[in-house]
Amino acid sequence: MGIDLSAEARAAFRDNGTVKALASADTKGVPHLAFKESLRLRADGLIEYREYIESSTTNRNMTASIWFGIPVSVALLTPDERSFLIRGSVVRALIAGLEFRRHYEQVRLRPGDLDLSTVWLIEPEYERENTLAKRKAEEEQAHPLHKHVDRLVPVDKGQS
Amino acid sequence: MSIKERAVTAHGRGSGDIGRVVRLQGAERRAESRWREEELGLGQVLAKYPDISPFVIIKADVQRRGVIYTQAALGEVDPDRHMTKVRSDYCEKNDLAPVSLMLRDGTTIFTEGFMAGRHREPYVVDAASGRIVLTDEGRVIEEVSYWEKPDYYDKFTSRGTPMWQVVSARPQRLTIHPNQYCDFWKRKGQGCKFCVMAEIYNSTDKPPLLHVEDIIETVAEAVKEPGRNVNIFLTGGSLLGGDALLEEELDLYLKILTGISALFGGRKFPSQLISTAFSREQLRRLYDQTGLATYTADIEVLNKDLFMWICPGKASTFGYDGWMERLYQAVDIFGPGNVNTGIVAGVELARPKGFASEDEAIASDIAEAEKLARRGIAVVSCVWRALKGSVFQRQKPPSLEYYIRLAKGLDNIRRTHGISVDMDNYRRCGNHPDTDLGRI
Ligand code: SF4
Repeated sequence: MGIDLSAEARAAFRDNGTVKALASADTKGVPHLAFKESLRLRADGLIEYREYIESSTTNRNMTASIWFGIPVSVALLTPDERSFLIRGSVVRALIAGLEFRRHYEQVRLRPGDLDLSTVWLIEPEYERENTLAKRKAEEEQAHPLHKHVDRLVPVDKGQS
Repeated sequence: MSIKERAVTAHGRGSGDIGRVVRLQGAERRAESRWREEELGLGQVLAKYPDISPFVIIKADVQRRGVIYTQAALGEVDPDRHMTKVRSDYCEKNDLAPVSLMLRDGTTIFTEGFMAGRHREPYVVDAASGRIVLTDEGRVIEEVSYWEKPDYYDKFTSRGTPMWQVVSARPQRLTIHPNQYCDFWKRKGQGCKFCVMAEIYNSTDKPPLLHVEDIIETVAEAVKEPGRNVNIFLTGGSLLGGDALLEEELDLYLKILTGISALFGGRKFPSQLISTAFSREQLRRLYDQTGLATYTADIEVLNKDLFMWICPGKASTFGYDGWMERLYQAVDIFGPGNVNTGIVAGVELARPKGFASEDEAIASDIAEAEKLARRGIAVVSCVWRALKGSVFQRQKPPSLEYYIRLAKGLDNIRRTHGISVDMDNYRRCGNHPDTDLGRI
């Protein structure tokens, strides 16, 4: 079931300085992680990314995902070090037609004589902010026993 | 000559319109009533083969059973955006129904107009809230989209020929059928028994041969479209004549391919020719003088005795072993992975001479495909439909499970022998369930 992403995650997508990565897996569960600068949030709430290499591991894994319902994850890291994890389902592969052509023409404007294999669409189903300070606070709230006890010993500020 | 293009066809000839749906729904009711009890249905095959793409299973079944469209589905057709017309050696369609379908994962389904199978009800394409869906017995199976029309389609050549009549299109391929008839049909009893080329030709007023200048001009226009085409494909009926066997056919392809090659600076370009099986010397000329990258000569049926029965013209002219030998020679010239051969999967079960069971047929097909793979040649399969006008028109094609088992087997062979699927994959052709499986 699709979800709407938070305002923070949406802002992270909009920020040009955000580092974006896509994690996928093959049918045997072998994971694969790749940085994908083209990951973008669309107006309809789906995440899209442009795959330039037809035979890439990600492209094969995305195909396996849409065939067999294997989820994929998107990780975002903003310039101010906030991070977000979004998990979703691959719902469509654009490989031809008007919409694909619009992407292709934009890709061709870039340097490097790039081709375009597929525009993949991912429906977000789960989101979590993974920023360390936020996760630490959540952990301490939910799992107060998850800690080393030396952290609890008061520090004697007089000792050097 | 190829059958891979023809094996799956459905035909709207010329003057079809939306009213045809009603007549075809009548045809639907005439399908055998018990077929659903006699073979595994889509849901059962999906459950039994969880390691096979559900999209490929759906595709195979839709191509096997055909489709019809509801008024709502036809209402979603935009003739300015969608392909509705096609002229090829196997299909003439100029009505307002979509030419064919595409699934969400990019898998193409070839329906080419309306068609209700004789033995099984077709799927129904319906639409609601702007979504076009494939349905069976009232249940939604999957979302589909219609093939989009290329830029060149409504243009004319300088000779005044509509370009859509010269080069037909798939979502990512240009398809050229220079010879719309076949010499085997000129000899009594020599045409292939599943083939409808003569039937289609005789029911239209199209010329037997396309003008080479029209072809080059249309391709030159078509390749301007950004992001559309990944393959230029040629096939047509056999032309046996000339100074030596097939010289006429070779000359025609040489002229066309030389002209197209010039558009790419004489370099090899993504391309495939399916021709009658040329000799080594002819293949050498084809390879050296043009930019053609890959080559196919379709054996159609992987069994010597059945080849003689089903493809009598090919068999008497080349022989089964002779055809195979020419495939081996093609690999010497084009290289492993750049040569394959197509089969019309299921005709080997035709009555009365075909295999008695699907198990036997598949075992035999796989054994023969293995032999070819050891020489670097892949076998690609098409879904057979017993088309009206073919000698086999009353035959009953096999079950969906047969097609999935065969596709899986052929895919496995290609993987085992390390034969690339690129020349005939889901983008470059899209007509083979087995090569669709090569995407992962
Ligand atoms: S009869 Fe001719 S066109 Fe038809 S399948 Fe045989 S060789 Fe090809």
